[in-house]
Amino acid sequence: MGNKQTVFTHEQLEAYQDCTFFTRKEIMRLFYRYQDLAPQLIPLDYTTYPNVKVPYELIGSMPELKDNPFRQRIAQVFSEDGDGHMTLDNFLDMFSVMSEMAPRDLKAYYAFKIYDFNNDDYICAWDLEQTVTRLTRGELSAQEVSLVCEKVLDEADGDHDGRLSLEDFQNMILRAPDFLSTFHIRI
Amino acid sequence: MSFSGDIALRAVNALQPKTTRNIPGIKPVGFITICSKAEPTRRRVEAAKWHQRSTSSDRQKCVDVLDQTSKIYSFNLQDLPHGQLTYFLVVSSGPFNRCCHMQGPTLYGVVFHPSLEVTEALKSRCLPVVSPTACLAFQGQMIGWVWDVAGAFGIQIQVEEEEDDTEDSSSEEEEEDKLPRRESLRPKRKRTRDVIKEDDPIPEPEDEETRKAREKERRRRLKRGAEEEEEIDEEELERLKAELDENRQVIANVKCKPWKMEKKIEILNGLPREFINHHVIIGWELFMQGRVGDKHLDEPRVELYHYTWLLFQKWAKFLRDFENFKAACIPWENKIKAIESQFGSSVASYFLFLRWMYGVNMVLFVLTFSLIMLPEYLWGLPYGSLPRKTVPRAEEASAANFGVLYDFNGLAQYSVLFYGYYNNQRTIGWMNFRLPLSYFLVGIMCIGYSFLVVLKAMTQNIGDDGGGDDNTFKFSWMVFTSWDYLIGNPETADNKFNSITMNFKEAIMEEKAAQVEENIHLIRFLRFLANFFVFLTLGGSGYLIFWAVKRSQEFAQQDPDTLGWWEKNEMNMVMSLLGMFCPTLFDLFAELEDYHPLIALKWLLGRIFALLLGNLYVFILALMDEINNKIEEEKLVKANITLWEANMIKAYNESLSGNSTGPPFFIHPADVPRGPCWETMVGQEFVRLTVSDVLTTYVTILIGDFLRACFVRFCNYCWCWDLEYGYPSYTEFDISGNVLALIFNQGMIWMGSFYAPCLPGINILRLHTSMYFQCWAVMCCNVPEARVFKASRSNNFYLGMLLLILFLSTMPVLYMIVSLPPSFDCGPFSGKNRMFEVIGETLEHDFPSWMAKILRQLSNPGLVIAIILVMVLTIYYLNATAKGQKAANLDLKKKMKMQALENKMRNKKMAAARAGWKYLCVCNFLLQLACPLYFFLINGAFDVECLSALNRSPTFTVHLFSHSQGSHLGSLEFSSGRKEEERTLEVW
Repeated sequence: MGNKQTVFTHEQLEAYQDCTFFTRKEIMRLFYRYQDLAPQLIPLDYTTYPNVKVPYELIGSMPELKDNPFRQRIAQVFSEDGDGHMTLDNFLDMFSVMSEMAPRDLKAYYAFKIYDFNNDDYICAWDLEQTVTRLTRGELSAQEVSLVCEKVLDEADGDHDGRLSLEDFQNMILRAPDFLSTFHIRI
Repeated sequence: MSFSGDIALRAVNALQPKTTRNIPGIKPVGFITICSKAEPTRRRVEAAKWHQRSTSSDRQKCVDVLDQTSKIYSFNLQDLPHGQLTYFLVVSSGPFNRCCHMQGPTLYGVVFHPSLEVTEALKSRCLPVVSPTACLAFQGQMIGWVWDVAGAFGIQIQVEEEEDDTEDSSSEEEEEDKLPRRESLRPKRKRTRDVIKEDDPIPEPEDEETRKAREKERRRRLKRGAEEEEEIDEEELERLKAELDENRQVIANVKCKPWKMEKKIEILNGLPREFINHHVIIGWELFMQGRVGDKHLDEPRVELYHYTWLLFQKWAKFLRDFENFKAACIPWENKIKAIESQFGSSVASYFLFLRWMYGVNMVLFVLTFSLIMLPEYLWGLPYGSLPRKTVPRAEEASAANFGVLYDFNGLAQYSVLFYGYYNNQRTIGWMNFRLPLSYFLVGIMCIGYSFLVVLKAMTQNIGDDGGGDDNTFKFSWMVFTSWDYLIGNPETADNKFNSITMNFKEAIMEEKAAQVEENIHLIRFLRFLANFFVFLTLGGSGYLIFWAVKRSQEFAQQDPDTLGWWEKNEMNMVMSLLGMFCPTLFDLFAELEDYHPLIALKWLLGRIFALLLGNLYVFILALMDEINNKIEEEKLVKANITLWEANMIKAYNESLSGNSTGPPFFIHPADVPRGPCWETMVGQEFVRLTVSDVLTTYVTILIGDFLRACFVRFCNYCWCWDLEYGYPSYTEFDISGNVLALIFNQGMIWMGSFYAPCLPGINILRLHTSMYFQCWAVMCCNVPEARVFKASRSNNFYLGMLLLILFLSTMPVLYMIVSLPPSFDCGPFSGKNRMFEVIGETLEHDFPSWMAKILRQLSNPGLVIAIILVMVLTIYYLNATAKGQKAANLDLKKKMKMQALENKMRNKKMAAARAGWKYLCVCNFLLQLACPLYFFLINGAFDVECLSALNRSPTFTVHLFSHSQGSHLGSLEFSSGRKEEERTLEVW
């Protein structure tokens, strides 16, 4: 318990609790998980806001992420510069969004970002192809993939501009029965 | 507590309207917030925030947030309107910190616009009360003064007629210096034409005179411009309130915003919390006063608000700590996480369900333990004091044997664990605990609580559900929601990848061609056959149980010593074995049916459910038979007992007559003959069933999972084929079977806990051990499912079954309570005709007579029927509205679909139109060049619609274009309006 006081100040902890869906204990646990990724890099004292990042290679090797076909996207979306290297704040953000408590809208927003591979704020056919290929590890033929993409665009593209905007995506995903239960990482 | 922004606000509030009214030529432009860089960030941001917010009001136009560089403030005055005198309010929390109990002192000054020459006359118009602490300069020219007003402020503006006004300050120190001045001014005040400023943001202890003066002034002001002020203040207050709400919302919602952490923290820090506090106080104060016009606060009241607010903050902190504590109390988080990452969300859903059941049972256990078992144990008569609390003489010898105890006979039967042990004494112990009443109420409460919890969980799940069950987004959902982010195990991930690929392929196949149903007759026949077999199995199992129960009753009549182990446990074993083998049979039958696996799973679940339900009800019917027998038996015993008593007394009297100083009449309670006590029997049956169920489950896991896994693992080295991937392989975790077992077990708990208060406790033990045991078994002997199902849908399915079971299991209990007479010599209700009479008894004895009368009137059949009628009507009404809403929903959905389709069509048309119009233009142009006649013809073809459509919307263009194309030669007959259209076209 005494240890906790030296890592964060009371205000920091309160702020983190305000900004994430975690309790104090969980924040500490997450911090130690984070610290464990690169013990020689991350100081045990965060009261001075040290500006350190954990490289993507270490983030992506976490057991929670390592089997996820979208791990790289997740890390990129939540990292500061889109390169996958994460500060503690990014790290907390990521798991807060992926936690059970996060509301649908927030999750949908980030899911959109994750599936938007080329960061152009639209999910276009290319993004869809990427997604499908990752989901099936490339076991579908190109023809099948393009058929699936076509189908998806046909179903979800509300304004028929040939790509999914955030609204289209939200409209579709918020009605999905499995979205909340699967877009969720327990830490 | 106070903060500069707040003071600025008050300053602006107080100053602006009045100054605008009173000083011609001075138009308030806004205020400037000055912050030094040395200020803590938070405060600076607060000031900036405050500053920005005030821009929203058009009366106040902010110029800039300034950085204080020196005593001279520089700021950008370019935005100011030219040619007029301007004043700013300068608010600072900077270096003029002189006040004692406030941290954010205020500066405020008058600034003239640089284009104005600051003449002496002008200066004299704005004379500060205190000497300026600093000058404001612009381009070397003095443009105004700034003076420290330390929390409050005062301004004295001399208007032409030398009339002045005065104000006070808040800081106590300054109070001291200013008092004489104020006193000297007071006579003048009587002549004052107007009050420039009369407000005090922070109340201070005032001397009597000031208060009086202020009171007077307020009255005067009220008389003069109450309405106006009130309006303004009300507006202000509204704004404040809105701001306040907004801030609160921001704090609550910041975690739901898709921002980076830095931004979130910045925003949080930017929120002036003290500012909020202060305004809450003001708001409360105004509310308490019942009027909004007056913002004058007095000290004790503010103190009160302050402390209330502190209390509030403490409360908020407590709530947060409590949340933390609650989160810490949730058990097995890590275990479940491990399972989730290894097996995906579906297997974990079983364990989540188990944990939830554990919570529910915990509550039931606490209820029964603390309100029934503990009081009876502590305060009730001890063991051996009554026949019902004593092991009968015949069983005494074997009462403590393990075999007997294991069967919940002997000592266990005559203990607090079972109904029969409880005495019908109305109150026990020094607290006058009404045990029979408590027993009855806890029984009802358990049922009520369970209903509530299950329903609540169900509604929550419904809320979580996206509500999409149609096929509109089939592929999209498959692409975007099929990956389970919880998976953290390579093998499961492999399975998941495969199943996703399979799903895609299936969907593509389905899309390409509707599935060809070959030989539909064969499939129908097979399905019929399967259902027939299932029916047979169900009937057979029902009969088997009925037979077993009958047999066990026969055995019960015999001497227990002559019976073997099998005969004693036959019924439980039969039930457990049926539960074990029938699902496998159903699985086999399902092969015949050839359904899609998901549908097959549903069928399987339904069948197992029917089997278990049937078994349970057969069991209950057999039990009812037994109960009736026991009740008959009881009547006999009752008659015998009177005979026996008479005999005993006769014998005693005879012995007395021989020996006049004999021992007093005493019979050991163990020797007293007693009734069969059917309630305890029922309780025992349920407890035995539960225990044997637990054991069978564990043994099944040990043999079916663990031994098989060991065999596969270790014999694989020396076997002819690959055991791991070949025939026996490892088992998969059977989610549906386990969930059903859990549900039925719970049903038994609900049924039996009225007659055996220990049942929830036993169930807690069971759930606790099975959490660990099954977790271990799953992690060490099971493999992830080859076909990973999603858990989302099934959750409510399980809960629905649970609800059904709850309903079905409370029925027999309620029936027994309402219509069977309790045993005459055991249990808390002995001696009563029906169990529920305990309520009437309590009413009679413990409530005042008028209340009893009212309650009795309430239970009058007329009223009850009326209430039931109303309830039925309400249900009908709600049902009807729900149906209507559903229909409306469907309608809307349809409309949306239509609209989407329409949109699509329109877009296509539009695209075609664009292309078509270009084509037409080109054609027209060419034709114009080539042949004037054609031009004319084509123009003719451009009928009225076409042009009006062109003017209206391009959507129609194409439609008409094709039309005109089709009839461009024949369209000459258009006569009316053609000229006009032609002209328009030419113009075009």
